[in-house]
Amino acid sequence: MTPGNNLPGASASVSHIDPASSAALQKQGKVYSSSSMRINAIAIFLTVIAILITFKIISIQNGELAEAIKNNEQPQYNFIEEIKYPERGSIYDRWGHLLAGNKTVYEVGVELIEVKNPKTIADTLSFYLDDIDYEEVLRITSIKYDRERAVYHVIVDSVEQEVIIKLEDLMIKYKNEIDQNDEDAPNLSGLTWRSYLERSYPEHTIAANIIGFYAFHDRYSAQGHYGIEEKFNDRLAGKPKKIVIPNDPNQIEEMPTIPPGESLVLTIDREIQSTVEKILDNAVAYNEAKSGTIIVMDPKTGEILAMASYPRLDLNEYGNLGEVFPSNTPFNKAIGETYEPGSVFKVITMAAALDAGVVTPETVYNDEGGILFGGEVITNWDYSANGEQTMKECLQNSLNTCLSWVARQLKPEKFYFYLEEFGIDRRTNIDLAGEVNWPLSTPGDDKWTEISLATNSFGQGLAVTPIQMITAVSAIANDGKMMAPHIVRASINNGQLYNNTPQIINTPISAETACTLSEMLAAALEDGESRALVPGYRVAGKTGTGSIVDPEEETYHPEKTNASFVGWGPVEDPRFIVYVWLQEPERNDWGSIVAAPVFREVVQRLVIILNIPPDRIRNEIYGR
Amino acid sequence: MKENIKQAYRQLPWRVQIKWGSGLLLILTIISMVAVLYLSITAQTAAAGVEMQLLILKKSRLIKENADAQVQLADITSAVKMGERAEQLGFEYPKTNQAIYVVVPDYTLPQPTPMAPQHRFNPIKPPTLIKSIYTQSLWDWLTSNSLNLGSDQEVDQQ
Repeated sequence: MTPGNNLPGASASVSHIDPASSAALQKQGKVYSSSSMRINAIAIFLTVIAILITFKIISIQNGELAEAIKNNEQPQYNFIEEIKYPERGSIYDRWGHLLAGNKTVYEVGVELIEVKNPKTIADTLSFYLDDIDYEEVLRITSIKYDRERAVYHVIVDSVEQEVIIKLEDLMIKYKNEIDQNDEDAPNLSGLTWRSYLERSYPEHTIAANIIGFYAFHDRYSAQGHYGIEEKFNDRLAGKPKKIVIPNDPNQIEEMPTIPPGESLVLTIDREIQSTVEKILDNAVAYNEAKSGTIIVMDPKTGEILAMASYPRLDLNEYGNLGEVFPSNTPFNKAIGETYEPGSVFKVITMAAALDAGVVTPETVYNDEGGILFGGEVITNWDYSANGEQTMKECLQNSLNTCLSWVARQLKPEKFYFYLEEFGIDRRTNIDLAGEVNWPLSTPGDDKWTEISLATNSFGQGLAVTPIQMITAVSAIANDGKMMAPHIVRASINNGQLYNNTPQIINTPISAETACTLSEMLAAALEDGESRALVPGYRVAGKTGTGSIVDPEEETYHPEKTNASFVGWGPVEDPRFIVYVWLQEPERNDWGSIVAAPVFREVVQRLVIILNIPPDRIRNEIYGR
Repeated sequence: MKENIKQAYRQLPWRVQIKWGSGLLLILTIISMVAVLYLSITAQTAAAGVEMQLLILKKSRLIKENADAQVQLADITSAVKMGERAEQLGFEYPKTNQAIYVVVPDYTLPQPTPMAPQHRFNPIKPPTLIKSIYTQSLWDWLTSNSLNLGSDQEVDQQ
């Protein structure tokens, strides 16, 4: 029977057949009718079911549970959102020696659901790890597993790889040799670890004052402190990225590459730095000084080859910061502390006077032992009267009276104009965190008096940082051009090297003036048989002994001084400039006795490391 | 009479049933083929996804190992340790009067080795790691293949 037979047309077509057949068909019609009813019933039933399902779907999606899931912190079932932190960039010296990198350490914790013997874990960890509290570990490992509240617990961070290897061996041993069903048997089940990168400083204290440190013990909120680590914190840290990891492997997606933070290549030469630090430590100890600083710079580029400061911190143990740097001790004295430099400043005064043309090397000053300024008498350091002195002799004998007279010839406007040109009134903006400066008092300021002109001319009554001084004096060693001092030579970002180009920040004096003054200072050292002289090499420089103000008495301390020396060489073609500052040396007060020999020692090592042949050989080579 | 004529031309029921059955079978076959194809691609994608996750983990581990190896190397070649080893071997720092300088024509002083290629203004973009076959939908795959087929034919015709 085809469905077509049920059609009205089909009924009409059989209306003429015999009654018996008609009765049968009527019976069939009843059957069809009851079948149709059943079909309708099923259809209604299915429709009702469909409506109920739809209603249930809507109620599930809008019910309390759905709302709770929506408000949950991790509502996504299909993927995990994770913030990936890039590897912190490394710091290298100019030759590629690693100064700051990242090493693998481990976080050790417990999966509480798997812990079988808390005592074994506590015993083992307290045996292998120092500074770990047995009771605390036992307490943690004994916490009952709770799906909502207690699943995993960190026990200790920064565990070295060697310890992890031992723990792993022990864990395998227990698994293989001991009955796992015995509840009292030693068992490390539940103990787990995962690796992460932690900042490491393989050179420990070398260049510590330049690098600064990254407070790696604060794993998720660590910041760089001091030096390069602070100044370039954002660039070293890189940019964290939020990534979406699908739980369903079908939803394959390419993971974004998270580039590491920028790496920095410094201008520092590790060998020079470590050598200079050793010399400084010895000098501080020998002279019983409070502290000290030595800076070595390439005057032609402004690159800092070494910057040593005492005291220094082992950067891997930065927790000792407070002990190493008590009270307000600056982390890097070369940039972080100002002081009255004393006679090294006479170089600046003389450079200004020569450049302005108010004196020449042959100009004679008649030293009578005192000169009147603002009603006060300025005397020499030894209260001597030296008679007629040329400008070279004024520098050689470091005459306060003569330089005060030179400043008077220059007049205040010109004198302070030149100081500003040399950058004495502002920071050098070296690429290190923590640089300070002392505001320079100039005519018109409340603190400035007539006598300030005299005292400033020989480096008293004003304060500078060693980096300011070496930057200013480097102009004399570099044909009058003052280069921007810098520590970062290049940066590596996304696998590409970006070089820092040396910059001229100012030209305070002419090349002729610079050459004349260099010659005067070299001759002054030679004629004065200075302790700074280096056999075989002609160097120029100036000593300084700065008085220190006693904060309680508000006058200059009768005994305490700052001993300094600034010098460069070889005079004909300067390759280095060195600044030495020893703070409050006890053995001797004078820069010529204390700081000049330190300069000589540094230069003697420097010429070997920098491959600078003695003058005689260089003259032979270049046919001079 | 009209209906009777209709009835006379009507196909036999079994023929109609076969026709319907064949049609259904054809639809079922097409659906099965699509399902098999989809399942096959899905399985490959899943396998690739798992492998990729493993490779990501491996990459992460290698980055750590590499960084760690660098630090270890730096540690054993640090200035202090190198100095100690040199002293143990009998070396000492030269003094200025001990140094002998020899003129070597065309000799240049050692220069720092560049630690990375110099920056260029048009850096090469890193290649996409995942093939498009793993990310495109079935429709994308069919359309791209039909397009490729067309272009191949064009090439063949040329």
